[in-house]
Amino acid sequence: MSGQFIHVQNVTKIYEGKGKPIIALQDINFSVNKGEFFTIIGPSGCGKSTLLNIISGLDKPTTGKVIIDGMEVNGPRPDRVAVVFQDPALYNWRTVLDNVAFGLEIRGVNKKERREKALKYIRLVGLSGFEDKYPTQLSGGMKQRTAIARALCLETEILLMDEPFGALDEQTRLLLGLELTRIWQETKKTIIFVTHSLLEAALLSDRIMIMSARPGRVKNILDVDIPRPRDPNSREINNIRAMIWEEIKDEAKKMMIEGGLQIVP
Amino acid sequence: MSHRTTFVLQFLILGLILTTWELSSAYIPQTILVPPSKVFPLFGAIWINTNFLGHLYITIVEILMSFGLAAVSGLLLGFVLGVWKLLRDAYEPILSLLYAVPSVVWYPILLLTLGLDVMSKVAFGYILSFFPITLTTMNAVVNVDKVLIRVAESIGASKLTVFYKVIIPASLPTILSGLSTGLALCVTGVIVGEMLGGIRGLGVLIASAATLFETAHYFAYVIVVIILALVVNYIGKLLERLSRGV
Amino acid sequence: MQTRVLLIQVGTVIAVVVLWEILVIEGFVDPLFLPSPSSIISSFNKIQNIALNSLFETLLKTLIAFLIGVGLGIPIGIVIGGNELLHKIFHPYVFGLYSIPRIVFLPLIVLFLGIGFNSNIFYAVLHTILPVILVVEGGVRNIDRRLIVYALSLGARRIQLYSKVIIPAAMPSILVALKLGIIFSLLGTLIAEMYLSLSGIGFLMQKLSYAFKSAEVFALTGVVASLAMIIVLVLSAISKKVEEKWL
Repeated sequence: MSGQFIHVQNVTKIYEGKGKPIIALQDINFSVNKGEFFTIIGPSGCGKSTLLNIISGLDKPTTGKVIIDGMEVNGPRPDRVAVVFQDPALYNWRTVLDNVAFGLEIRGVNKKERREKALKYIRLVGLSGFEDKYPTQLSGGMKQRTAIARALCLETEILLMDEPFGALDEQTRLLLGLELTRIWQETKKTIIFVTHSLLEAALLSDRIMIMSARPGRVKNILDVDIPRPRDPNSREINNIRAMIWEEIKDEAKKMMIEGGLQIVP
Repeated sequence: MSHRTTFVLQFLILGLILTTWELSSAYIPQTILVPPSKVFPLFGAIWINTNFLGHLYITIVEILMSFGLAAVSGLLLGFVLGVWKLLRDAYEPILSLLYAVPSVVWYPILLLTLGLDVMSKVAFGYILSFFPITLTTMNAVVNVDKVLIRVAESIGASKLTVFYKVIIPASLPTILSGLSTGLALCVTGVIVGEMLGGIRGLGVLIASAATLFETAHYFAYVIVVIILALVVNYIGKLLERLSRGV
Repeated sequence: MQTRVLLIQVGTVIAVVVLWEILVIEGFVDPLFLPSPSSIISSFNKIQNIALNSLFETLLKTLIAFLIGVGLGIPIGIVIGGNELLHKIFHPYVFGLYSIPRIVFLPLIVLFLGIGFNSNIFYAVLHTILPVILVVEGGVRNIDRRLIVYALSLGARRIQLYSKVIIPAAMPSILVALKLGIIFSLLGTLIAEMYLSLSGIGFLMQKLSYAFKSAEVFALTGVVASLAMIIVLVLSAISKKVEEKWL
């Protein structure tokens, strides 16, 4: 791990609503190392997605800044940072191949090179043979793999993933999680992964950042020193899950009460 | 962009249109284009004219009659087709197909059989609005979330109760939108009918004013129709929005 | 089930025609008011030639108005739909014009362009272009924001955004607009013909109705209505095929 690569410094995000302003993020400070698998976890509504949008450049912080490899983030940098969302948002009128190659098409890369690169990443995510299919012919898991291949095809150093497996069933999630670990090990990217699943965080990450309820702050950062491949049923994984839950359960309760739900402690 | 900026912008554009209209009338003969400065005073004056009021009355009566008939028959048929699958499968294609025919095609027959006076306009407005009201009502009923119905049935509600307490409230907003469309179409139908051949009504006034080159009167009457149509539309949308708040 | 449905449909049509024929023949209805189906069919021969000429002329005008209407309307709809400012400015006017009886502008058009072909086309174009713009504009505004955000995050330029994302994503609406376009341009042409009273099948129908030629009017109405229905059926079949590929 060659040092600090991504710095999030004093990031605060305030939304002016109709009435009281909403403080989505408050004074976020952390760093991510190069080649690291860094997970952000927190209760619903704590601002994880907002934070990811700011890091990717799709949104601007109210105060503070994000520095990637020495340069401040001012807007999307498709040459440095690729994003995968929970909704695969594929273009239904394009084949899998054309979807994956879309980023390169925008950049103006020639057709032959686009095709080669796209096929390479389609193979990497395990979708060989499906390159001429349309998104409507794919299952949810396959659509998400296409979205991942699309992001990988941009060949950036950094990959941001905002609850990419959120809409899938548990079995598919576990399988895709394994795939993702394999892809990460092969491509050696720096990945920032947002999830609300304790198991996913424990299974995939090098470090886990736990956020508080709104206004979102950094509550704690845990190290996960377990060698891969990791067994979901092992004692070590369960320990990590318990540690995360300890930190997070009070925050989760706060978010539920804010929503009007009374919980017996 | 805030609401206020939009409002100001539209106000400015309206002003621009009116100014262009006024200025261009210096270059265009007054038989063709009459400036707002001449039209608006006339617009005020016609409301005292009993001749005009008489025609306006006829038009409004025609609209109300055609809408009343269309609404009643449309709602009835719409509900029947909505709940009765066999009839719906049989007649929906036929109705949709008839709806796709350009409505004015039926007008010569109406003129022939019902004459030039009020009834042909009422019938034309009826034809224009009957189809959308029926089809919208039918679709509204069909599209009620089956889950809502199942919940009521599982509590032991009878079919009639389900109809009154679940289907009607759930489909109400869509039905109102269909009625709103129908009313707007009645206005259009009546005016079109009057302009294409008639004895009394706003449309007849418009057509004859144009033919006689009483262009200022023509503009004034057109403004009346436009306001009428916009008001009717607005009321329809308002009712629909209120029902959604339910 | 399908056969039962078909039976009801065919049965209804036959019942209506038979009842109709009986009512007229038995003298319950004045044949001037409602001519018998048989007399309608026989009147076809009398008017065949002039009817075909008029029909051809009407269809030609419809086609021209359609091409202009969608040729202008679709791009305008895309531009207005894609730009929030333009939408806020123009949408109320387009929608306003659409919701009023546009026929009231026909005399004004005639004042400017005279009685004839030009007025006819101009009005038919007006009739077509408004719903086309509204439908296309609506389709563009309904595009999933994510698709656009994603393309922008890749650094797509305006032209790329429109050609690679917005237009393909709005394709279903564009197809609907085309279907509407044909119906509305036919409608506009017919209305203009009936008002201008010069030529075309609209005028022919009106002239015959003033001359109390009931059977002929019914015959022509049937022809034009059937033609419209066939056009709609064909268009629906085509658009279904295209949608299967797109969606």
